[in-house]
Amino acid sequence: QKRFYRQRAHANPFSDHTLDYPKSPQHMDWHAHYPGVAPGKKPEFADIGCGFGGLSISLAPLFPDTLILGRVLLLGIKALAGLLSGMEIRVQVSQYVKDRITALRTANTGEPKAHYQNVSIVRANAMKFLANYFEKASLSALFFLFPDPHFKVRKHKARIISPTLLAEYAFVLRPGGIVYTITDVKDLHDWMKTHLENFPLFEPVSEEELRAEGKGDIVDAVYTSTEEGKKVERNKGEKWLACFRRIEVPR
Amino acid sequence: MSPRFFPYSHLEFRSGIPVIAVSGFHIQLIHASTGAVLFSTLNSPPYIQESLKKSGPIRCAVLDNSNTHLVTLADDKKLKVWKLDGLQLLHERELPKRPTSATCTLDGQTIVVADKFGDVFSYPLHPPPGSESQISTSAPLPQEDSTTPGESISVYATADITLPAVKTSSNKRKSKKQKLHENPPAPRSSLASHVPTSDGTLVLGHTSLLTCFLLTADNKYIVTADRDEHIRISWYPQGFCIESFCLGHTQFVSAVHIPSDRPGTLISGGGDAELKIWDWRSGKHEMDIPILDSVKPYIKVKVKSYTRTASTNFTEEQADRSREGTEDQESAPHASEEQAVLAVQKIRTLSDHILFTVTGGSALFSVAFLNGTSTAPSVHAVNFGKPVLNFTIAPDKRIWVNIDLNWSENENGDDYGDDSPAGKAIRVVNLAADGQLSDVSLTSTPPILDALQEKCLIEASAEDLAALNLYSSLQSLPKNTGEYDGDDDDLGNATPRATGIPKNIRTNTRKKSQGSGGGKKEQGKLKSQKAVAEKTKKHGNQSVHRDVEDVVPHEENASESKLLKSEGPATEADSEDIRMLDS
Repeated sequence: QKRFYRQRAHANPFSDHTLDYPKSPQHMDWHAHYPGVAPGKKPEFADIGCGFGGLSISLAPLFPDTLILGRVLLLGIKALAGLLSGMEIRVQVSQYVKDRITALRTANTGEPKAHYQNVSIVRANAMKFLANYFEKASLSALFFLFPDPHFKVRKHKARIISPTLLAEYAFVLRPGGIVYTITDVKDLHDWMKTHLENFPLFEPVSEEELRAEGKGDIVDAVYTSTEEGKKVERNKGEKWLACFRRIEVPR
Repeated sequence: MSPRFFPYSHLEFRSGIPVIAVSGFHIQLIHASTGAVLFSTLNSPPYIQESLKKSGPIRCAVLDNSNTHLVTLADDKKLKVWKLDGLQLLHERELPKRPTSATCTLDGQTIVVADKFGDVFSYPLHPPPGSESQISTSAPLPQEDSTTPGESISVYATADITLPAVKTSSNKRKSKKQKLHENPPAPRSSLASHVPTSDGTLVLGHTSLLTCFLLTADNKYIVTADRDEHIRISWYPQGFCIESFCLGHTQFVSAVHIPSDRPGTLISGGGDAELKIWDWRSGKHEMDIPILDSVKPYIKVKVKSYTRTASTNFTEEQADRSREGTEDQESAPHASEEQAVLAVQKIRTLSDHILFTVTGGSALFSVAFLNGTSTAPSVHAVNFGKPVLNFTIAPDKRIWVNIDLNWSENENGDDYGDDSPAGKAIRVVNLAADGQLSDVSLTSTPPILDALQEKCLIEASAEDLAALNLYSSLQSLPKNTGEYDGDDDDLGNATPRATGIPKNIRTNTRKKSQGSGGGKKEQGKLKSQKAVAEKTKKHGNQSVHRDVEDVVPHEENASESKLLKSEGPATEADSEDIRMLDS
């Protein structure tokens, strides 16, 4: 019975959870999430399915002027996210991240870089409502770290990378922006890589290229900063990275 | 018992061709002046009639621009293409999911179909030669397509024949990458979820039930709207490139329209109390036109809202699959109040006025299309007493309205109502310059009207009529009624509303539905004593999540969740256990 008290790892993104979401990006009050930052600033990095916020929190001090958001999709308490926007649908997890961010902000007031004012979390269903939060071409990076593999064939439609969802990710990401994916499940890696490669608005970009462009810190964080990533390391699993750049195509 | 007749679901009036009248399973072509029936599927060979009956009532009928081909969709997954002249059924194709609506491109060579799952596929007008889906008039009943649509292995085979054989101009322009995108190759060990069947090409998809869509007049853009309040504008045929969203609806969107004389404007309606006007290319919301108050008195079809008491829920959990009905009501006596649900059904424009109808409403409405006025324009209505099913604007600017002639206040019982159906199936309306609508059915009765009112009526059995299910969208579209919609594709349970600004924290006072498995409404519950005690509405689904304080936010939790995750498929079993433990 004890295990039933834990938060389930899955939440069905197709259900209508009791989540609030802004009716349009113009209605989104980002300042409420990032009170320590000038109003009007919007997130640039979004971590979809941010879990315990590891990535967003690691990136925050590296990009002190960029807002980062984590998204959580667990049911339950909703936590709102910040400029580094974490989006997570799971309740308890989002609450945890919110508390963690609050604690970090309080502990680091006055810090010039690691102030954590630029990171927050939103409890949201990114599969359905991404466009409600982010305007066209407003993000420069999207992160899909260790997403749920949804092993069963009939569950594949719930995977976070699909030919139909990619259109939305391309919409919110500005041309030149990067999608970072990493997983320890080879099948899922193949799936994501294949779908992204076949999507006309994304082109593959290698780790070397990213490092050459100065994004090495981000790549390192993608590999190592999440709870999930650390667990994979402990279990001596492999991690597969696949990154893509958003491009434009002619009419 | 006096005979009952099918109401007309579609009428099409175009200069130079007979009037197309669709009612029940059948299509009739009627001479526009004399009212003589030129062709009718009632006279089609038996195997075609069988096929029509099997497919169910025709839900969508679209004629291409050159008046050559007619495309029909019914309650099954078949796409039928007819040659208008002679009403010849050319072929039928199996679609991957149940279609909701279709349209033809300008050149008539491509059919674009939206489905319940949320995807839009395009199909060449004619399937490639040699495919099993063709029907020739001399052949016996058409072979069923051997591949089963959906997620079965055989779909992979169809995916191999990915590119349509017909060379449409769009095909030539496509880059290899684009072609790959439209026909996602199934990764070797698993199957993609958006695999087309029958030579279809994926245009785009929403993560929600698609309610309506349209192609702009120049076919450069496709506007798609869904149950989750989104209106999305994408390139056509490159549906993967989203141009903009028109966001602002707080309820499902069920009708969209771009006026031909204002091609940059989009008018949308759904469950919201107002129609919305947009500059669709930028996504900018330009204005609202309030309609609810004017429309509400005419909403005749009411929806039962279910309320459940705490003691009844466990049995109801079993019954949750079927909404439409009686099964839900078997348990505990609970109040099923009837309420009016607003769902805009169809929007058109005529002479600077917006014409619209609402599902289950007995009137046709018009409202002036004035830009930038400060006062809300008044909504005019012409009432017919019984619900309007559809309306069409004829070339002479008269509006022909299809009425549900069988509907009666006493609710689909065997009560016919004492009015004879003749004279009630169709009304003709005139729009005056000031927006007033008037019923002119009695003042001018051309032979075509008489024909439609009487001799073209097709008899329907009681079961046929019951199967029509004309107002189901009133139950399935709204998100806050506590109803599930009954799809096989677990889309949408009870829901949230889009608000202006998201709230910070929601307390767990309500039960939330949390589906987990595919297909069925799984009860992935979190165990909670409180949840059991405080069950209120909603189909006994689950349990709420425990209070925040109980969260143990650290590694242990993560690994525990990871454990659950890798057990993956065990979730269903878990739910079973939980349920039993609860009781």
